[in-house]
This record gives sequence, C-alpha cells and structure tokens, in this order.
Amino acid sequence: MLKYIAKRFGYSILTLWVLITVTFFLMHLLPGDPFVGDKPLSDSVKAAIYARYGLDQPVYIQYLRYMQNVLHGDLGSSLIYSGQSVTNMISAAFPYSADLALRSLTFAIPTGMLIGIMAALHRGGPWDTTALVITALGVSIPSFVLASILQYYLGVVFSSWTLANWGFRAFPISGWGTPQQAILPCFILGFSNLAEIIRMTRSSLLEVSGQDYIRTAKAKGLSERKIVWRHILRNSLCPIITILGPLIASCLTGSFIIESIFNIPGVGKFMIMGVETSDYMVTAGSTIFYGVLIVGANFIVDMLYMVIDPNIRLYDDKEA
Amino acid sequence: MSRNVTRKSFLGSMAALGALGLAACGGTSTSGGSDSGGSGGAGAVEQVFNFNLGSEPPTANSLQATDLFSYYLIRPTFCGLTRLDEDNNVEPDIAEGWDVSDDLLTYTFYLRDAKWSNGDPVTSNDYLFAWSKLLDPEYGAPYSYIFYDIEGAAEYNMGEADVSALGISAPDDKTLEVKLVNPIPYFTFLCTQPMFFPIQQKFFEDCEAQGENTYASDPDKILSNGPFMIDTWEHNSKIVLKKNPNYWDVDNIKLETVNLLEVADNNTNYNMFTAGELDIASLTSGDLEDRAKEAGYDIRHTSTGATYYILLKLDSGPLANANFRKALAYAIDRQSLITNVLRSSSQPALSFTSPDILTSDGQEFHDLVGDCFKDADVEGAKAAMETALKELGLSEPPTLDILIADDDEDRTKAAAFQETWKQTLGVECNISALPRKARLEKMHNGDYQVAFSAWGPDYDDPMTYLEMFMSNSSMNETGYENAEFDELMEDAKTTTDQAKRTDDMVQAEKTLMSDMPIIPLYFAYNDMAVSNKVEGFYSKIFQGENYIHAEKIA
Amino acid sequence: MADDTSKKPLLVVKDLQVSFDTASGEVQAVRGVSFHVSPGETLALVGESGSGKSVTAQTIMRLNPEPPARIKAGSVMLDGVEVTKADDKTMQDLRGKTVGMVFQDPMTAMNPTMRVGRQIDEVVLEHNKIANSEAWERAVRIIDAVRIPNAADRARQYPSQFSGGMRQRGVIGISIANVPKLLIADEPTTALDVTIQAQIIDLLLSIQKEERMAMIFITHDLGVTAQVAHRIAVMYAGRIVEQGDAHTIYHHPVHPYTKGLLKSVPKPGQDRSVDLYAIEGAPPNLIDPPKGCAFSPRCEKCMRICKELQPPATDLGHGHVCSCWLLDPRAKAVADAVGAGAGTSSEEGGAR
Repeated sequence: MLKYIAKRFGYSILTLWVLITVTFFLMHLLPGDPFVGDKPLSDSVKAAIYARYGLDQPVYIQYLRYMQNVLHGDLGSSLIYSGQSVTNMISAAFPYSADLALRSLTFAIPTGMLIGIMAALHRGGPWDTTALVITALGVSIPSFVLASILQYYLGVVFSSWTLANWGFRAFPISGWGTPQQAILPCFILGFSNLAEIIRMTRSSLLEVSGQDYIRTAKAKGLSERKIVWRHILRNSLCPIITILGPLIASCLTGSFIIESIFNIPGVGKFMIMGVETSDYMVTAGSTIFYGVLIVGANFIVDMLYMVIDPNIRLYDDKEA
Repeated sequence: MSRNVTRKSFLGSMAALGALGLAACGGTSTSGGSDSGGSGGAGAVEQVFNFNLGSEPPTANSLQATDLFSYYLIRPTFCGLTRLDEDNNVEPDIAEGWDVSDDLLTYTFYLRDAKWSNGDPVTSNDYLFAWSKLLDPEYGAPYSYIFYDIEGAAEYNMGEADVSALGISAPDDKTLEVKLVNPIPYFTFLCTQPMFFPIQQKFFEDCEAQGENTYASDPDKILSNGPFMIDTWEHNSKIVLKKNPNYWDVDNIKLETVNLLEVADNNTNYNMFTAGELDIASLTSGDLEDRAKEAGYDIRHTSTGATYYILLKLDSGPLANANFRKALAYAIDRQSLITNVLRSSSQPALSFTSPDILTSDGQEFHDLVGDCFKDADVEGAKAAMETALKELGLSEPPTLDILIADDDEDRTKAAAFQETWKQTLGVECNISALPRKARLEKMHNGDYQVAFSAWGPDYDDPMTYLEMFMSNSSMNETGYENAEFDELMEDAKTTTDQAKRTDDMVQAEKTLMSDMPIIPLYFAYNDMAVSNKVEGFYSKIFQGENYIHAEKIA
Repeated sequence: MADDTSKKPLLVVKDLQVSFDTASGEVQAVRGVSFHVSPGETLALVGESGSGKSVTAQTIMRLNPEPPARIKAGSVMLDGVEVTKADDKTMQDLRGKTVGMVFQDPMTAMNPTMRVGRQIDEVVLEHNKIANSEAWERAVRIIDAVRIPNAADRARQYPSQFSGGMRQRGVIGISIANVPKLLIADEPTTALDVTIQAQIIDLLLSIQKEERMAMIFITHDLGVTAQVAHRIAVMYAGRIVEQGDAHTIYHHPVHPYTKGLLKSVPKPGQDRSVDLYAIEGAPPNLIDPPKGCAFSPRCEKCMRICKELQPPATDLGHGHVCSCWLLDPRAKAVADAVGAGAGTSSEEGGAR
C-alpha cells in the first residue's frame, strides 16, 4: 500500500515538474515582446524594464530562478500590474472561486448522483427521462447562453418587478458576497456539471448492474435496495470519482465565463485577464496553479481508489 | 412505493434549500453601489457615484501608467500644476499662476498652499522629483519622450547626460522653474496630464525601501493631492474612492464616495446600469445603443480624439507609388464601414488630425484643413489606379498582404477592405491575423505591408498628430520622408508666431494627405448612456469620463 | 444413483413459455417446457448455447430482468409456491434459502470489492436472525466445507486473491449457505480446467448427498452429465425434445438430436483418422421460430410433417418422454419402407 502511495506521489511530482518546465519554455517561445505596447519604447527604457524583470539573463538561468521561486511558492510578479505578486493575486482571487465551486458542487454532485442512480435503476421511467432531458440541455446549452438569459430575465426583468411590487430585488445582477448573489452563478455552474455527473453516474451504474455478481446478489434473496446499496454503488464509484476529481479541480479554478458575466473576482477571471493582456507571468502562474490543483485532485482520487477498491492495495503488495 | 418516498423527500429538501436561498433577502451586495430607490431621506441625496472601469487598473503610479484604466484611477486622485475645464481650456490647479518668458522658453510656476492627503504641503520639489524620476534612464518610464522639449531631458533620459543637465529647478518650496528647448505653446496643457503629476519624494522612497515597485500598489502606498483618495482597493473587484478633505479645492467637490467597479462583461454592465447600480454605461455595440435609445436614456457621443488609419509600408513594392496609395484610400467607403460594420457614432476621416483639437490660437484645426479627398470616390480611385499601374509598369493590379489582430473588429474591417479593393481596383488581398503582442512586434520591426493602427493625441495641439511623420521622429513607423513636410514642421516647432505656426501645420497636413503615406479611416467617437440622476458629468477628449465635479440629484 | 421419484416432486415446471422483448422483436427463448425435480435427485438439463436452458433455470428463481423478459405462459411450482405469480417479497424469501444458484463464470460471479466471508455471511444474515459474529463463523465453516484450506484467513480475503477453482467453491459456498432444497448449477465447470472440474463435481455431489438437496445441473457436456445425473432432459430451441432417466437416455436415445449429441462425444481410443462427428447446421433464430419441429433442418430423418407441425410429447414409459414425429405409428410404415428402422447409430433403440 505504501508503495502505491509513493508511486502515485512520485508521478504527481514528475507531472508537475514537466508542467512547470513546459509552461516556462512556452512562455519564452511565444512570439512578441511582453512589453511591447502601442507606442514603441526607446532602447534605454526597454533595457531598464528588462533588467527589472530579470529578462536580461540567459534562458537557463531564468529557468532555474523561476523553478526555485515556484518551489517556494513565488509565482513571480505580474508584468502588467507592476509590483503585484502573482501568488498574492491568485490567493486573493481563489476564495471567491472556491466558494462558487463548493456551493455549485454541493448542489450538483448529490443531485446528479441521485438522478443518475434512479435513472439507471428505473430505465425508461420518469427519472430516466429527467436525466435525459437535463443531459441534453446541459450539453447543448452553453453556459454563457444560460447565464445571459437568466441574468436578464431574472436579474433585470423579474427583479424590477419584485422591486416595484415587493420592495426588494429578487436577484442581483452581479457580484458576490450575499446568498442572493450566489444563486444564479452557482446554479448555472452546477447545471453544466450536473449533466456530466448524471451521465457518468447513470452509465457507471448501468454497467455495474449488468455484471454477474449483481445477479449473484439477487440470487441470495437480497432486496433491491440492499443490492443497490451494498453491491452496485460501491463498485460504481470508481468511474464516478475518476471524473469528479478533475471536475472539482476545474470548478475550483473558476469558470471564467460565469465569473465574467457575474463579475466575480475569482481565478477564472484572473486567468483570462492574463491572457488578454499578454501578461505571461500571470498566465504561467495561473497554469501552474491549475496544474497543481488538477494533479492534487488526481492524487486524491488515486488515494480514494485505494479505499473504495481493496484490490488496488492488494495488487501493489503482490508486486515484486 | 416507500422507496421512492425517501428519494423524493431528499429532492424535496434540496428544493426547499434552494427556495430558502431565494427567499432570503436583505444584505448589501459587494458590487454595485446603492440600489435605485435609495435610502436618502427628504432632501439629502446620497452622494455616491458608481462607475465601471471594466478592468483592473494595472497601476496607480503616474510615472509608469500608460493605459486608460490606470488614468481612471490617477486622474481623480492627483492634481497637477494645471487642469482642464469643460471646454479643454487650461486653468490653474496647484499652480496659482505662472510666468512665461518672451521667447516662450522659460516657465515659472507659483504654487498655492495645497496639501497631500497626509497633511504634508505640496512643494515644488514634489514636481522636480517626479519629473526627474520619470526621466531617469534606469527607471524606464514609458512616457519619457513627452518631456523631451524640456532642456536636457532627452540627453538625460538616453543616458548621455547627468541629472544636473535637466532644465528643471525648485528655487523655493512654492516656485518651480522649467526651461524648454522648443517654444511649444502647449506646455501648460502637458502639465494637466498624469505623467506630469507630482509625487512626494519621501513617501516614494519609503515605499520603495519596503519593496521594489510597491509604490502605488495599494491604498496605503499612495499619497493623494487630488479631489479623491483611494479608500479601499479590492484587486480585480472594486476600488472605493472617498473625498479627500485635504484637497485645496475641496469645497467645490460634491461627491462623497466613488465606487469604481470592474465588470468585464458588456451585457452585465448595461444590465447594472438599467437597474441603477451604475451611473454611466458605455454603449459598446450597436445593440446596446439601440436598447438605450429605446429606453429613452440620455446618450452622449464624445470624440476620443483617436484617428484610426491604415498603415502602409512605404518601401514595399507598389506601395511606394503615391497614386497607388491614393487609389486605395479613395476606394474605401468610410461612412458605410461606420454605419454597418462598426455601428458607432464615429466620423469618417478625410484628413488626419481629429476634430475638437484646437490650434494654439484657438481655432478648430480640422476645419482649417478641410476634407482632403472624397469618401467612397470610386471614379477617383479607378483613375488613380490607372495612373499608378502605368507608373509602376504593371499590367495587372498587384496583391497586398494585410496584417491584423485576431479579434472580430479587425477581421470585419479587413474583410470589408478586401472586398472593396477587389471590386473597385482589382487588387487581391491576403489577410493574416496574429495575437496582439506578436502583431505589434512585427509592426515595430517593419515586417508588414498593410496594417491597421490608431493614434491618440497626447495633448491638445495638432503637433501631437503630425510630429510622428517627421523623418527624424522616433515615432515614425511608416518611413515617410518629405523634405517640404519636415521643413514646415521644423518651422512650426521653433517659431513663436502662433498664426504662422498654425498655417505651417495646415500646409503640412495637406502635404501629408497628398502623399497619403497612411490612409485615414475614421475619427473614433464613444457613446455612453448617462443616468438622469447625475448632473455635472461630462466626457471629453483628454479628460475621459470626468465626474469630479458631478453631483447626484436623486 | 437410486431414483427417488416416489417422493412428491419439489419443483414442477409445466408448459413454461418465456420470451424476451427486444428491439429486434420477441425472442421466444422457452417455448413450452415441462419437467420436474424431486428431493435428493439431480436432473441434468442438456443442450447447446441458445437452447433456453439458462433462461429456464433463471426463471425458476425469477432472476431474468423483467422487462425485457416476460413469462408468457406456464407454471413453475417450487416447494408449494407458484413462482410465475409470486411477488418480490416472496421471491426474495425463496432465493438463497429454498433455492440457490451456482453460476458459470466464477471469475465474475463475486463482488470484487467485498470480502469472501462477507459475501457468504450476507446470505446467512439475510435469511436468519442471528448475530453478526455467529454468521461470520458460519461463513468460515462453509468455506471450510467447500474444501478451501485456511478458511478463517481466506474468509477475510477478496475474490481477486482466489484462484478460479477456489472462486467457484466460494460461489458454491454462497449458494448452499442456508442449505437450500434445490440447487441450480448453471454450467458450473465449463469455465474451469479439467482437473478442477472433477473436484467441483465431487464437491457438489457430496453436498447433495449430505443435505439431500435436489439439483438441476445445466450443461452442454454429455460427458459430465454421466457423472452426476439421475435424470436427463435434452433441450433444443426452447423445448425439451427428450427426457428420461440417465441410463435410458445414454443407452436407448430416441430423438435424432439426442442421438446426434451422443455421437458427438469424443471417446477415448476412437480412430483418429476419422473426423469427429458434428451435427450439421445451426439452431434456428428464436425471433421467428419455425412452426414445425425446430430440429427439422438438421435432422437426417426429417419428414414433411416435421416441417409443418410441432411433434407432440410421447410417453414411452418409466418417465421417458420424447417429442418426435418418428414415434408416430404412421411413421413406422415409412421407416419400414425406407430400410432398417429409424436412426443410424448402432446404439439407437428405434421406435416401439
């Protein structure tokens, strides 16, 4: 078991190292001078700026310095927002994204799994139909369309009506901080993920339900509830948590669409800002941050596999 | 069946939770200012102004700022020697008055009693320090070139001289003396601009001692002498400004609080405006403008001063021929481009300098120049093309490569020109799109044939438009060289006769247009909707959206 | 192998018809099957893939998922309960207690993430109100009873740690944990190698003897049936074509299909230069089963009537029943006219 953990951990570190290295070199290979602006800079000014950001050193020295900084948690300084540390900017933005993500997932995961399970167990029934409808909608309606529609009809039209008749606005248009502000963004983010979770849960459950050992369980005289609870669910979990890990990680880094539309100052909005302003330090820093979250999420998923499926522990011990 | 009941009740409780969240009311949102239908009691209207910046300002350091967003933060929090009134006339600010020598080369400013937000007096050393720092070659400030009319500035900034060569001195705390090398009539105008704002030396050095580049990165790292000061700065979220009690003209400021938001999405921005959460909304698309018109809002069209034009590489094949260039210029239907593609209130440009720019003797320069050619002049274009082909010795119209940025606006414009030039002149175009920085670099290296560009003025004088076409200008991107043009411009730079100066520049622009090294497209205008609860707000070229003396009336 | 038919049968299946409603149409998997099993006796249900034997067996326990499976007609009377009409609760009571099942593929028949001991004590606890610890001990004893050494340690292990043969023993353990009256073994040795096969069969037989369990042994392998069966029922295309006691079926088969099956069994010492015998052709498509005898396309003795009508079941005495037109008295005339009696095998018995 320890070997399994150690191996997984080793792979995680290796992945992160490759990620950081590739990000760094991509940054440097990008065409275009990061400081080029609409008005050309004189050479002396350029030289001064380069020196300030350490860009006058040979590439491998910059790489080593960068690596060293990253290992200490320093993702560099923004090129556009002079003086701001990327790490600080991400730390300031992250709680918003995390809050948004956690609330949406608290809605999406239990609901999604519930609908998925019921749809799989009662194929062709009302649950199955619900699952199909949500999946179809979730896949075909892009989140920005849903967001714009809901923001307008609920945040503007409906809320003006409630303001006029009941004295308060039912839905705020944007922003973050109050429970009211959280409803629309969390719902929309949750909805997109809901479809995915339902689909995965349903298909995983269906696959397990068709397995021979479920027939054995039935042959024991167990009630359907017991069969689902004791035999089907646990064995269905593996594919579900496989997607849940990266899904949670990607939610945590914020959906930039929702953050842009609802003006939530999270990591997604931050990442996009970096791309739009060609602020390479911000883009690289965000990439690494995202990478760490995903690698971390996958590592946790690997650990959970160990808990859910005892065979993983065993196989490792058997290996020479 | 009993099984289903338990599942249903779970779902039911989820729905109840959701409804609970829905029903919970109250609590103020983090963004957006006061709700419409505000809490003001009888007579007392809350003086809170809500404005959307759209994006996080990169910096509040007046020495480093070059972009719009930073200026949104710096303009209300600092003031310079002079400021602009509603008609862009220069009036005193920190400087009570000033003397100008007869040769127009020496300025002596007399500072009034004014304070920084920490109570310290504003002194002339604050200006001396700020300007010297900006010109410091090791500091690398981007706007240093604008100071080059000051004696010793260019040499110091390029590392050829020492700071003592600078023609700026502070004989006493309340006097600032500046020596120029050129008798430019717009020097006091320049003093109204952010890069000329003062910075207290001690405060700056204290900040830098704590950490490099930390000056102006947070509210406690900025000292303001302007009408407002930064109260809170939630990065990427919201900036709150509060009236600065130490501002010398504080009695004329009505607003108590200004909320600067960072809503990136245009639709959200407009929705917030209609809900009363913002007092101004930029109408960035034809759609929004239509909606605003329908809703009956107060819509303002303001010139931005920017001229959008097509940049031509003059040593590249057929572009060396003036008639060819003119053919390209005449063929374009600018009005159609504006009405159908851009859907804004921009104006077709048939010369280079934007309207609203005044000459040093107070005339509308654009009117003096007049239209240098006709818009959508198909006949003229074809004729010029014929002549050009003969002169170039070509039997077929050549092809051109157009370099654009990879955004929708550039793509549509390029497609429009491609179509026009093919139809009218038979010129085929290849379009290549690059990300912004890559494209800019290619342009700086001269690695293009046809590209799009825009120029915004730095000060209120035609010189800022025309200077860049001088053959010795560092801003000259086209490689344009015309001895007559240079001569006219040199004279304009050095003469003290304002009428002659104006005339020189009118002739220069006409010469420029007859050579057509660039193709003017349109003068960019901005459209915005203004809440009827606001009075005293205006938007003007060089000042941007100015709410400093605004007041909420409801 | 004494025949216990004097006792009242434990299981009586009469005219059972089961179909599957699929997208391609109705698959008539079982088209009128009748047989019985008495306490302590083993009935072998023999036939090739698709003959309907597994469906029949699973119908006895109502294990087929009920859409798409559908019991069209017939009755299954198990220990006094009419299974075709029983509700869920009744079936759950029967399963694991009165009737147990051993499945074909031991590798997939157990839950991979549950300890083997738990999988056994689960069925014990389901049908007995005893303490968990007692149930666990019982599970360990069962593991021992199915001849797995180190039962206590093995009980705590997972199926992946068991070999194929051991897993099958585990599955057997699950099925007999509550000493059911009827054990259905659906091809329990098909997936195992020959040496293990023998052990498993031996185990089953000894359990049967000890507990006086009735057993339905499903197989396609006539060699195996010889070792275990008291009685044999031969299925083809959803119907039982011939059934009787083992001796009769082996030495005096009547139905051409039965004869063909017996001929197909390779015998040790047979001439290697001669090709192995195989019945030509393939079973029919059960979505559109033929109206006549389903075996007719492959039958050497096929008559015109065979293609038109299903042959009725003819009782040949002593529990030997066969459905074949050759048994009709009118067919004898044809057979005499054609030549030396019906059938080609030297072991055939011919119509009476």
